[in-house]
This record gives sequence, structure tokens and C-alpha cells, in this order.
Amino acid sequence: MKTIVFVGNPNVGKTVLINAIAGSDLQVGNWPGVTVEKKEVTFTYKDEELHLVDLPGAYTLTPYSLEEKVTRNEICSNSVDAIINVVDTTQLRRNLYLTLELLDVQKPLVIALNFFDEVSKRGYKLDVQKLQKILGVAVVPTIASKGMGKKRLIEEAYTALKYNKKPKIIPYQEHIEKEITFLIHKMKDEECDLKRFFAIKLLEGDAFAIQRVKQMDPSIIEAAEAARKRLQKHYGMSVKEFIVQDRYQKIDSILDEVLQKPLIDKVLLSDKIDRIVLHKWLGIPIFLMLMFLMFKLTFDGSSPFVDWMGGFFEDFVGPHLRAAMQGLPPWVISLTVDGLVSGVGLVLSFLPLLAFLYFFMALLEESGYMSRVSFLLDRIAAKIGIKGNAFIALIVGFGCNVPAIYATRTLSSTRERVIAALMIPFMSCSARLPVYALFTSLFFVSHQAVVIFSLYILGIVVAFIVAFIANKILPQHQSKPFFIELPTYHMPTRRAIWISMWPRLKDFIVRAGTVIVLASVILWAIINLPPSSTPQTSYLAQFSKKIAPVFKPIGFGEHWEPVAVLIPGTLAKEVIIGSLGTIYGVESKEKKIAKHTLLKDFFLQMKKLLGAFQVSLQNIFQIHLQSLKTKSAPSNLQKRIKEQFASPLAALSYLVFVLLYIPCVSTMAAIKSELGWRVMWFEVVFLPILAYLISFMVYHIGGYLFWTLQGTFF
Amino acid sequence: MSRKILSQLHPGQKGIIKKIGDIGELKNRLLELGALSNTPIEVVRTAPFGDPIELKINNTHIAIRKSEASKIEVELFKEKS
Repeated sequence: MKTIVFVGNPNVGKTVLINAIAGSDLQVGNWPGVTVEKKEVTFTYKDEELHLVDLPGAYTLTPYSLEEKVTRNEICSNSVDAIINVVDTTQLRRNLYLTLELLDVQKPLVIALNFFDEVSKRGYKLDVQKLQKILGVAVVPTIASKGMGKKRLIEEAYTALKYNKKPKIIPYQEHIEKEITFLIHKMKDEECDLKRFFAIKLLEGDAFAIQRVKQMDPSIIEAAEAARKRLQKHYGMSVKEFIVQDRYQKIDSILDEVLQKPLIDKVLLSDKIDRIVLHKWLGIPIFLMLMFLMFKLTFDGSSPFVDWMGGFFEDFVGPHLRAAMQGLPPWVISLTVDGLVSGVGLVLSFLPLLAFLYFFMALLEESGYMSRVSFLLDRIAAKIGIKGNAFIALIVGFGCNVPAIYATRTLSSTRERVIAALMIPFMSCSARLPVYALFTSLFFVSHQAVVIFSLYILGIVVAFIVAFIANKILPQHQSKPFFIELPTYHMPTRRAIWISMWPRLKDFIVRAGTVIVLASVILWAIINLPPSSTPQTSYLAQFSKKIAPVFKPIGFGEHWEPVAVLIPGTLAKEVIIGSLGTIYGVESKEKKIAKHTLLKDFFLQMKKLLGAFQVSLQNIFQIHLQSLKTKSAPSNLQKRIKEQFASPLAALSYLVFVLLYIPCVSTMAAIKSELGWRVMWFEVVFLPILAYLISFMVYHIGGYLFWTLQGTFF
Repeated sequence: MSRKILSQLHPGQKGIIKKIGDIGELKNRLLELGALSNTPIEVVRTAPFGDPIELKINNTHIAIRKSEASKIEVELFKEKS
């Protein structure tokens, strides 16, 4: 099978183009050894299987980011048979720089001039025929979002591949070309397809090329060193700089011939948007407003679906499965229904929320606003050893910590990723909100919103303190200076958004899903064993009764139940509420049984789903401030909770503990897979201790304040 | 002609690049994006908290921190009066 790689600057629409060509979804995985996304697809063209690979966006073949490194390494590997160079036609000068470098690689190459419709919109005139003639490779205008040009593009690539059409050489300045020839000659005995490319990179002093060629023959490096000195002396500047300059001179002379520009560039809409969006005073408020809007829409839009999904498993799948399994030993039924299936239900109940969250992330990314966020917030980030783009991951954390951990992938060094990953569990995710809502509705009736808001702020403050300390402790290393492009805004297409969000959702189901289901089964065991125990005598209860006194100093160790539910709470913190219900025995132990036939119940569920769509749409389009919803908990549960917490302060201490005590199992799994066991175990040990300390402070300082205030006022 | 340090330019001021000092690998990056000697460069704006700064080089908008911008020398365009 032949491999065609798609190479281009970031944000040139490569992924959408591949998707249009292959006509099916791309598979997303990881490049071996690194956490850079690998997108690929196989498709059949003229009876031949082609492997299309979307290489990460790169400005040049001298990498600055991890993504660019992957791209460079891949191009220099033997697994590439042809290259499709995707070019942003509105930024020809900069994009052609990469093109010239790719031509030096001397592999079959075809150019896609993407966003071709923008050319005329901006009043440019581009002579594609002439450009094709000068570059000596096929040049195909494309509009990826509309699928325009895709047929010709793949046809040209296929032809180039079939006849192994190597591009003609566009020579450098005479002296450079002489040294290149000299170095290629030195390599003549080596088994290497990229002699010209390596020769040029050696002259540029590129560390990667030096390392690669050294393995072949160290004497070539010496020859290159001498050549570089000769050139440097001749030109009076670094060879790298001269070669770059030479490339740009070539580009400028090409553009002179093929491109007609209006005398004065129109002020682009993009620049006008930035005048407001990045404005000194408006920039931050606009950012905060967008984030508020994003979360409001995410929560309002997804909550009907989340509720429906919960009901679907509780009222439909559970009872019918139970009925179908009749006759099997009760523990098998219980393990399947209460352990396995409820675990699956939990995973799926996260999907609506994540779908919304990923949708908005894709929207922000594809439009180009994400890099603006980096720009706006970099100053704050710099203080804790990260860069502005880390904030995107942190913000996502308020929705769900799991995608937030995955979002740290875009950060440039492991050190930054670790710092960000340490902060993320303190971002109060949506699963914690129901717990806050229930408790504050009981203990802080008139200050519910203030207390909940303070918990969020507490999380943020703790995150920054932890990051500040981590930045001091973690070994310093030479990190690359902050650099980011602020690309022209693009109207994101539906396709592009879908391509961005769907693989991530799938990824969550598979990766987080397995962990949650596994954990559900383990939890089922500790709650339901030893055999024929009640929730009050299970292993969980026995264990909790023993350790409960440890929590006395922070206000809630008098009773074992609130302590016990913290353990199922590691699954997802909202599980705490349901578990309290079970343990107090206020939720009838009597399992729901199927009332109707399977089919009838199924239609009932579908009707409810339709209703969920309706409510979701209403929520999104109605501008009404929803009051905080308390999950309609049975009043018995509320009564028991009230009995078990001595004071509002004790309840507050409990909420602080719930906020901080551990990342949920899916987050742990994400941390493990992204950053390894060490970081994960650190979190598992460190967070409970930290949570205990902070709850202790809240409980005692709060108590002290309360008494002094009382002393003053009464 | 007045030589200035890039980080001292006010938003909206333009100049041409004269020298890029030691800013590690960022130097190659800027060069390859076209920030060669004698290329026009414009400081578009400063971020709300004062850092980083947005630059425009050949229609490309990029952002770098002031600490790096302070190692880039530029020659100011004459102010039109």
C-alpha cells in the first residue's frame, strides 16, 4: 500500500480536504512515542489502496513544536511515497516557503491551493498555470469545505506517485548549489533518498540532519562544517540566514510573475474583529463572556439529554435486563445490572455534556479564537511556568477534567504539561455541581449562589498556588520562547467541526469508558459484598466505620455514611448523592420492575428523547436565567443529611473536601495515559492530603471567625 | 535614523528589522517566517496585561513575549506628519 502524506502550515484545511477526498471519517490515534494526534484513512482509488496521512501542521521543516517535529521526522522516513502540499492561497508567500523546502525533499509532490475562493474575494489575481510551470509540479486549486478540486488533486497525486515523478530542482544561489553538489557527492555511497535535503540542512547547521548523517559517515559532517565556514566567509552572514533569504527571494520573484495584488490591501474583517476582541480593555471581558456563554449553553443544552440518558438506563435497560435474566442467581443479575450496566450508563450519561463541550472547543479552535486566548492570558501563565495556551485546557476542565487533560497535548514541553495537569483537577467540573447544589440548598438556603461561587474560586486559587510551587520545584529546563501565530479568522464549516469533535468523543467512550465500567464493577463488589450483606454491613461500610474518626477534625467524622460515599464518589463525584441515598436506605431497595412490554417501553423512551431535544433547544434559545437546579432528592435523604452534619460549617468543610479530594477515575486514567504513572500516583496521594489540610483550615478558621463575629455583634 | 528595540515600540509603530539577537531557536523560526534583515515589521498591539506583543510581518500576525522582543533591533520608519 502506498502512502500519501498531506503537509501544510497549521490551519490550512488539510483535515477537511482529506476527509473530502476519502469520503469517510479519519481514524485518530497517536504517533508512536508522542502524544501528537495521528489522523489517517485508507481509501481505494482506481483499484489501488492508498494510505492518506494528515501530518500535523508545520510552518517549516525546522521544527519548533512537537507537532512539527513529528511532521519533519515523518517526511524524512521511508514510509512516504508522495506528498500533497496544502497551501493557504491567501498567505502564499509564507506557505510557499514550506513548499520550497518540500521540493528539496525530492519526492513526488502535488500542490493544493486551498481557500482558492478567497483569492478573488480579496481582489487578487493568480496565474495558476504559470505557477505550475515555474514550480514544475501539478498545482490544483481547491476549496476543501465544498469539496472543490478534490478529484483533480487525487488524480494528479496518483499520477505523480505512479510514475514516481520527482519534482525538478529549483536551484539555490550558485555558491550554495556548488556546496550542495559537493556534499551529495560525499554521500554517494550511502543508502539515502534524501541526499539533497540533508545536504541543504547540513549547510543550515540543522541538528537533526547532522545527527542523521553522522550515523552514515562522520566525515561528511566535517566536510559540511568546512563548507559552511567557506560560505559564511563569502556571504558575511550565517548560512542559515542566507539560505532563508535566498528562498524568499525566489518566492518573491515567483509571486511577481503569478500574483497581482491590489495596491492597497483591504482592511480584513479579521483585523477588525481583533481590534475589538483583543482590545486592551474589552479583550478580557469579551473572553470571560464567551466562556460564560459556552458553559451556559453546554450545561443548559446538555442537561435534558443527561437526564434522559440516566432515565433510559434506570427505567428501561435495567428493568428489562433484569426481567430477561430471570432465573439466574441474584448476584449475577445484580453484578450485571447494578455494576456493569450502570457503569455503562454512567459513561454514556457524560456524552451529551462532552459533545457540547467538544463542539464549542472545535468552534473556538477552527475559528482561530483559541490562539487569541493564548495571547490574552500568556502574561498570567508566564508567572507559573506555563504559556497562554495552557489556559484553554484549564477552562475545559470546568466542564470535565478528562478532555482537559487530553487538551494539554498541545503544550510544548512535558514540564508545562505536568504543571497544567496538576492544576486541572482543581477546576470544579460539572459532576461536582449537583453535590454543591444539594448541600447548599440544605445548609445555605439564602446564600446558595455565593457559597457555590466561592467553591469555584477556591479551586482556582488552590490550582494557582499548587502551580506556583510546582514551577519552583520542578527542574528548570531551557524551554522554547513563547511563539504563536494569530491566524486569520475562518468561518468554521460543519465538516471541520464534526471532524474535530467526533474522534474525541469516540476516544472518550473507548478509553474513559473501559476505566469507568471496570471501576463500577469493583465498586459494586465492595458495596455488595460480603454475600447477603446490607449497605450498612458491606465491606464499604465496615471500612468506612473504621476510618470515619480520621475526619472528625474536619467536621464530618461523627457519622460513617458521608465518609463511605466518598469512595464511590471517585467514580464521578455526582455519584456521591445517589450513594448517600442507597446507604441511608432511603432509596427503596426494591428494584424497579418493567411495567410494559419491551417495545412499548422503548417507544416511551424515544418519546422522552424527543422531549429532551425540545427542552434542550428551549434552554439554548430562551434567554432566561435558570435557577440552580437541585436534583429532586427525596426529602428523607435531605433529612438524613441534615441530621448528620453538625453545622453549616461542617457541611462547607465537606464540600471543600469533595471539591479537592481526588480526581475521578477517568481523570486518573487520562493522567496516566498522557503523563505516566508517576504523575498519577502523585495526584492520588497528594490530593487527599491537600484536601484534608484545606478543609481543616476552612473548618477551624471559619469556626473562629464565626465565634468572634458572634462575640462582636451579639 | 533612529534605532530602537522592538519591545519599546508603541502599538501601531512600524520599522524595519535590523538585527535579531540571541533568542535561541526562536531566531530561526522568525527568520523562516520572513523576518529577515530589512523586512518591515509592525507592532500591532500589546496584550491586555502588557505582554506578549502582536507583530505583523508580511501579512502574518504572530505574538512573542517582550523578553524576546527586547533582543530585536529595528529602525523606525519616519513618522508621517
